[in-house]
Amino acid sequence: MSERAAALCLLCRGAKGLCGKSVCPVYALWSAVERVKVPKGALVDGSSPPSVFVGRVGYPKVRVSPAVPPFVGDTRVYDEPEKWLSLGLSEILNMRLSLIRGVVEVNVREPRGIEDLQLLAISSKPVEVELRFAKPPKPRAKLDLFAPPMGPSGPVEGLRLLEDPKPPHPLEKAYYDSDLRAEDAILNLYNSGVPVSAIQRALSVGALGAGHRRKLVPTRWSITAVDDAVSRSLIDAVRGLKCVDSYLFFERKYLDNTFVAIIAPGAWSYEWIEAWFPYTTWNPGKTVEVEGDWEGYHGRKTYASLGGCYYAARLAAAEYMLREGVQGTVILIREIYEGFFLPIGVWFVRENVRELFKGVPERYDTLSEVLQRLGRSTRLPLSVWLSKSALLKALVQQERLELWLR
Amino acid sequence: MSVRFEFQDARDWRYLMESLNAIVDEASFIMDREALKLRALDPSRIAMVDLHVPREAFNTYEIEESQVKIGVNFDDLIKVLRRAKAEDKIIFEIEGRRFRIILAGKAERVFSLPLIDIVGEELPTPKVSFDVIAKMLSDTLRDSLKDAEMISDTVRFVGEENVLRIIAKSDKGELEAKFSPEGGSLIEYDVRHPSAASYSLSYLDDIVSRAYRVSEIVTVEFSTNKPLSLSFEIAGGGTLRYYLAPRLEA
Repeated sequence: MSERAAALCLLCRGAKGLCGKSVCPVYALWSAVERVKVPKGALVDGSSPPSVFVGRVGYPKVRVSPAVPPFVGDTRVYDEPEKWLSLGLSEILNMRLSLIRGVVEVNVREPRGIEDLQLLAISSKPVEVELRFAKPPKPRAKLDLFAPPMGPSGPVEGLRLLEDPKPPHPLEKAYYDSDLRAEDAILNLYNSGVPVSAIQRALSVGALGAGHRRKLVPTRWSITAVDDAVSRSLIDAVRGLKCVDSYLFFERKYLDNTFVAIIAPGAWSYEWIEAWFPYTTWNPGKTVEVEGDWEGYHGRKTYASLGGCYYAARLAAAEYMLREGVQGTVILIREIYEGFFLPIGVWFVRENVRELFKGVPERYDTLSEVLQRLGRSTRLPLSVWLSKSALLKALVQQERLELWLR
Repeated sequence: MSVRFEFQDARDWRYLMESLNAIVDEASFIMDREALKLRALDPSRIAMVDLHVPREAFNTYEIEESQVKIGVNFDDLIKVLRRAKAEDKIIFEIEGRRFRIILAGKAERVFSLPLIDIVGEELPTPKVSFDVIAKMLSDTLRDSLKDAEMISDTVRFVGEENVLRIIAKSDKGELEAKFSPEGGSLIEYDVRHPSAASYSLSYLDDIVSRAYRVSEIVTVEFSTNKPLSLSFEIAGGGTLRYYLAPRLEA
């Protein structure tokens, strides 16, 4: 399979459409990167969606970069991954790579002097911002494992907000409440309907938490911190719900990815498995790589080996359970196929799994029926999942004590 | 209802409650003239805990009714118990719907918790006969389970004539721990029929990593492809016992 895909691309080189896609995935990336426009002068004026990226290199001295596209208008969607699934990959890339970042260095423990940046980051509407660069930004894109792609950047000498940021009420309240612990703030914001991406942005610029303990959190960490904190609190509630009464099956195919979920009767537990086909973002090798991690009813104490995606998908799963008022054993599987080689951000998993669970599930009465259905859905055979999945193995092998209570 | 009982060591009581919490988040104690009892299944109905503390184990033990149910949330209860200091005594008082926990040391600290209503089911004792019975230090068992966890999420108990093996296998490797009366790692060992069965390590670890503090000695009992029983004798009297359904490996 792998050789075939590689050979196809070699023969085609973006010209013949051999893979059957309307846009060559390789070209989509390069053309987007080529289109990255660098402002001519040292002054850029545009509407920040808002967007502020906090780097992690050099921690605790990190680079903080507010970003603007080189125009004024409604740019909200540029930093709102909750809306991106309806756009194509190249549209997302074009949008993101047009964001020009002005970089300032900040010590995470001394977030004083960046109040403008914080207010910008928690605004619910785009804010017109003027960035004055020390020298013209470099025409270089930034791709990150966790955060969405970003456009060119350069050190900034001055940042001026040309209009007032408008934080939504709950965020404004959390920002000025210096007694509210960060985790409580995160949960309050989530419960008042603030999108996860906005909470993550607020956390990353040090706008949340108990006064003297506030600090900047690199974007990558803040994304997972919010996914983790919110889903843990949702799961607390899920554990008190009744169990699903049959086996549920969900399937979603999107942009060279297949997402499937099985929810089995039983107590809450959760597993996330990724199968990276050859020549994808995280698998330069020639064989399919399958990795997974899981947690039982009581949750986990260590960081999941698969990192951000594990927590983003767990949030989506917990949201579904709570919405339906049930608990169960959730096994989530993602297959990533050959055309998918861009690190695009954890949002891709969160939003796809949310979308997956918006579908109407197929219902099966027995484990073997739902397992067969799984085998028909994925490109890898059922045997792979049965050997890699701790929870599927447990479902197949684990007896109930009730057998001995009759 | 009106109930009052006092236990000598608040810390020991906390360990006991944490051990119950390995299986359930909330449950009802049944208190009658003879003993305080609790029997509950975990939410997946794979494991059961069975607690029996006779009245003799308490400093005082007063009950007006012939039987009362005390429904508690273990998270809340354990939070209170964590406040206990060494040498604190612990006293439980129920007057009507008021549930008071008193930590009595140099000072007397009185906490109030809500009693909760739990629709419990009457659970019988599992019908299993055990072909292998081994008594060992609970610490020793805990250690070998921790070893096994590095390898697999399932562990196999194999009871042979003179040796008990705990085995974990996966593509990550293999672990085998051997115990025998001769080697001194088994205090008592009785094999009616050689037997083997596999169990979930995450359950075993949840149980043993808490219950080993209740008792230094654990009695392990099992039969081929039948539930495992782990019993811990409580200092001062009483038993904390777990049953765990097997895994049938292909």
